[in-house]
Amino acid sequence: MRDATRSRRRESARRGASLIELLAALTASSVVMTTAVGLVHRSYALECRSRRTISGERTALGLARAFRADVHGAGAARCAVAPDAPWIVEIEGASVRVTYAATIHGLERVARPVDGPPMRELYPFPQGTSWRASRDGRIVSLSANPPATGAGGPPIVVEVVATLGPDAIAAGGETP
Amino acid sequence: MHSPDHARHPRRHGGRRGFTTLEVVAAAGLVSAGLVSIVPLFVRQARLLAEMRCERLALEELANQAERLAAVAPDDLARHLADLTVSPAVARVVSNARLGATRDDSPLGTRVVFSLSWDAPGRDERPLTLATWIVPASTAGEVRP
Repeated sequence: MRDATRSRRRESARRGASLIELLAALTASSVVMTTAVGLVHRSYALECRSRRTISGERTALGLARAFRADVHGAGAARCAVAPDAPWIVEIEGASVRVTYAATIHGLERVARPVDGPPMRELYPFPQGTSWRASRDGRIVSLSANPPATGAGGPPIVVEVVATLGPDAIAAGGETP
Repeated sequence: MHSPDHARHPRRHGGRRGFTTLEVVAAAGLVSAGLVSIVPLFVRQARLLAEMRCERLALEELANQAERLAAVAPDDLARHLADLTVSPAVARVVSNARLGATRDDSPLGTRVVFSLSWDAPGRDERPLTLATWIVPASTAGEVRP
């Protein structure tokens, strides 16, 4: 009877883990868990940032393409001077009048064909982006000054230059 | 009443029922090493994003230079190509941007190739280039069969 009790006590003593073992295992698990959670968080943040950056760059490319196409086909271009002007640049084509206006969501391009309803297109940019259009002879420039505090990504720089045709009238510096 | 022998001696009959501390720590070390090895991928991805941004700006800069060229009088072409400068907005983002142009006159017109390189691996040997043509006024708009 005494032998049986001693044997059972010896077995139960070997069945569990010591406090040191438990602490070591917990520490190791914590390190792994913390690293994994940190990496997952970092990957999510990076994915969001990448998506935003790629989207912004694509928007800038699309805007540059549209602006150049508008200016190349234009007969006249006007740039706004007053900061509260309803548009920053107005481009007069043969059958369409295109204006670019800054909104809180980005830059809005409105094409008004002579015979047809206006067509609006928004190029989204971070809030606080300031826009500027200028003219030097036949050269019309459109540039964006990104806000000081970026919304979780590098600022999108826009600097587009387009040249009017030789016969175009570049009437700049007029406030509508 | 006696319990079966394997119930009284589980370790002897059931084999090992857990892991030793050494095994747990070794496994944790391996998993940590695997996770940490992912970190360089993040760095690489951030570099790729920055490079993409620089390439877009460089491409826009070359297109802007080509646009400016269209407004230059033929007599001023040589002087204009000699005085090429990168726009300040692009120079702020693209580190050490270097802009150049080569001119090639031919019976069809003048071919100007702009090239832009900056501080990035392989960019000195392989700069971004954009070719544009200046067609003489006499042949501009002329359609040949």
